[in-house]
Amino acid sequence: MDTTFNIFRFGKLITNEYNVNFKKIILSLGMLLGIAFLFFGIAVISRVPVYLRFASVFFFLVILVFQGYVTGICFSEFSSKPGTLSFFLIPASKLEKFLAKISYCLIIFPLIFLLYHFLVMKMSVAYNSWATETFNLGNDAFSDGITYDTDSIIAKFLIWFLVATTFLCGALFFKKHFRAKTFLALLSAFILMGVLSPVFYFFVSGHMPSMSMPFLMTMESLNNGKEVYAYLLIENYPYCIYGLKLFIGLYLMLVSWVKFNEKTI
Amino acid sequence: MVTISDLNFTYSRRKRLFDKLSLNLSHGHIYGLLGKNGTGKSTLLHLLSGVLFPLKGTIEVFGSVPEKREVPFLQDLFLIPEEFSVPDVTPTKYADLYAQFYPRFDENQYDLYLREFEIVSGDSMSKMSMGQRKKAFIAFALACNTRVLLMDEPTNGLDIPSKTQFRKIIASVPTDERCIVISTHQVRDLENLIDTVVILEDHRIVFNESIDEIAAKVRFISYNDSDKPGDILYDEPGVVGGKAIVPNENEPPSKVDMEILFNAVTSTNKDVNPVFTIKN
Repeated sequence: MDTTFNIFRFGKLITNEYNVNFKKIILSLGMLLGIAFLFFGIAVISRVPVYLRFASVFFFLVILVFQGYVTGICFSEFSSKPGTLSFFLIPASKLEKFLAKISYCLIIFPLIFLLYHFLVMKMSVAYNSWATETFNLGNDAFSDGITYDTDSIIAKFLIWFLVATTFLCGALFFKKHFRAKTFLALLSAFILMGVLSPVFYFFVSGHMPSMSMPFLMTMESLNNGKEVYAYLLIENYPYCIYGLKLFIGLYLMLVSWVKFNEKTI
Repeated sequence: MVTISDLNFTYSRRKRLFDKLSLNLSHGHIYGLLGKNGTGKSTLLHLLSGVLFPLKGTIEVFGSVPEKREVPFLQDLFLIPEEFSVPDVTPTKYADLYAQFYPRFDENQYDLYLREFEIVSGDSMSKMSMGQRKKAFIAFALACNTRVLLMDEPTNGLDIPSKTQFRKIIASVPTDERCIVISTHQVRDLENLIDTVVILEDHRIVFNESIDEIAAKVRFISYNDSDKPGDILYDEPGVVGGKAIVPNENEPPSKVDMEILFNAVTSTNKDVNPVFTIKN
């Protein structure tokens, strides 16, 4: 008998995870569809086209929230002592349990979300074509500007991966109200990065920017007194950013695995 | 089967719970783990099942170290905690989800125990009353046929007929290859059920005797004030007369009164008789 990894036990854990959380999973997917329905419904009622960049960011943020939510569902056992106890006493190895848990929040759901985002964007483009004719909008200027290339897919996937690993860590480290606590931790990290990135930019470029968003852009004062946006890393070194996100995500996973191994009730 | 050596455990630095606690449990027995509130009965069961880790000392359960939570160990140990969580599924579905993890799970036994406990297998476990849910969970635990079965306050939340059913079912479970530990502070619920009494007090095991050994050494009697015996080891006076423990000097064994025994062992006067010495 393989005590470290057994495909039968792993498969059983995966199906159990689905069976136990079936209603919540269906509910969250239903809510995602509802939000899309509402979004396009408002557009139809208002007889306006969909701004694709707005739609892309809007649905991206919706998915971010849902990523945190479904990670919470996957690790809901750890928010109570009886739940933690029941989970650890299932006769399966630690590796099987950990992989079964993270399969949903790090692989299955991000893939579903990616598909969802792709479909709503395709629907937005299709809606704009229809709306341009139906509402006599006169042009199809809203149809361009959005591409669904490999880079944008990787970028989205990595951000959801980061959110999922952060909530994974939160579920294992915080005993109660782990969603709220993780959100606060995430917000604190975001603010800290916002504060640190100008300093980082200063060391890289020699110029002190006057404003920054973490790893997105900084506003740099030029010698002539004008301010311009200087895209710090995302424009010039996208793969550096991908690597950084992947590294942080994998690091959080490793920390979660260590904590998972020594977690008690 | 279960060996605990020099176990130290604490939840906080100020308050130690176990101090060099040692205990041996073997198969073929139903142990009653007794102790006052806060003495660590539940904690000891949690340590045995590997969901808590010892600070010092060792625990071995049929050769496995519980804190490693290895698959063969988990397949052979079942803990029924005082509070447990069950998913929103029926008892039948619950068995579908988890029975395959236990190699010796017996579906016929499970159905039998559910019938004995009068559980409707089509109702969702999460919507059952606490007592019903507990009975369904106990039925599943028994049907898993694990070599070690730990029960933490199993009769809490059960009504009087259910307690009777519980005793009947546990008494019918074959124990030759099994070690069953029942932790409780409701000592009367365990009468006629356990064969060994283990008492936890002052951070360690202070009493570990089989019912037969106890009955051979002492007798539990009721007396009137007029015929109060002179060789009383422990006495609980009532309004008229009282109850007492006296030495058994080759007389037929009396029924062991668990409550008096427990009170005698945990009373401040612990040196009443050599019968209450530590035995690991």
